[in-house]
Amino acid sequence: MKNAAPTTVTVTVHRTFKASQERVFNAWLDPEKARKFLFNHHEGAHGGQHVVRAEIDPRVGGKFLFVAHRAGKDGKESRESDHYGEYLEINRYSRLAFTLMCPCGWSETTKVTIDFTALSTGGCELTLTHEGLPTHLEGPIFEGWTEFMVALEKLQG
Amino acid sequence: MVKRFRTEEARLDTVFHALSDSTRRSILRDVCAEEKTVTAIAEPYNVSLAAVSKHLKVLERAGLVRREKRGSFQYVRTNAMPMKEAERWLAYYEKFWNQRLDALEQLLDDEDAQQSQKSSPKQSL
Repeated sequence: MKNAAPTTVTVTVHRTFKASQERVFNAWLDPEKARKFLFNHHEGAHGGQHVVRAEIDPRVGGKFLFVAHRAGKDGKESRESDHYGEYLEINRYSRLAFTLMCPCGWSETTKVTIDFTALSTGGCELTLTHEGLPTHLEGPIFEGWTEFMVALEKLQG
Repeated sequence: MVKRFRTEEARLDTVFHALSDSTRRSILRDVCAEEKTVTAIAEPYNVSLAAVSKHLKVLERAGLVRREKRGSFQYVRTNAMPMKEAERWLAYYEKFWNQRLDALEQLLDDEDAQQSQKSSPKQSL
């Protein structure tokens, strides 16, 4: 118990795509595509959500906004949740960096950096780094979630 | 394997039950910050020591807190290691992004499938 838990964490994920570097890069800045893969999902701490509004201003200093509906505990109630941020770097087709805010879960400004590398096979490799992520999620959607994360520790034994 | 799975599931049930009560979640939050005596835990709530003790037993059974007797006081603290908890958060965020990338991959694959259907409409399996 000597080491205090860090207040934020950085996560990095890698993925190889069959699609070209240009196509994979462009998908992140196309509202019609981004709304389908980015904040649209069926699982999670809160039982899934679907995007009802997606706006993207694809230039450095430009903003993006995704509004999603989340199912309530009874499966009927619909709560709105926003994800928004600002583009910090748009380097076609090798790098994309933006801030990401989610006031329904955290108050910190987090930063996402995505690097795209073309492969000789015609596909591409993607590396995504998300910095400044909180280790406590707040708000009604995440009620009890932080405690649950602590609880999971015990389940792993 | 089945037996192990059932044991895990039973443990999950105990934990979910322990977390299903807002007073217990609140107690857990309190002792996460620092260890406290049972009396200190009971203070902010308008309930009896016996009621708090009952809540603590549920949390203890779920393995979420630990009680230790020192002198005439009982101290309660959370039973999780902070560093490991950070790892758990990492796994949570990793899962989130991997699911997003799965969805992106699926989206691009679907586009390819539609494209090849358009370019060769008569071809079929």
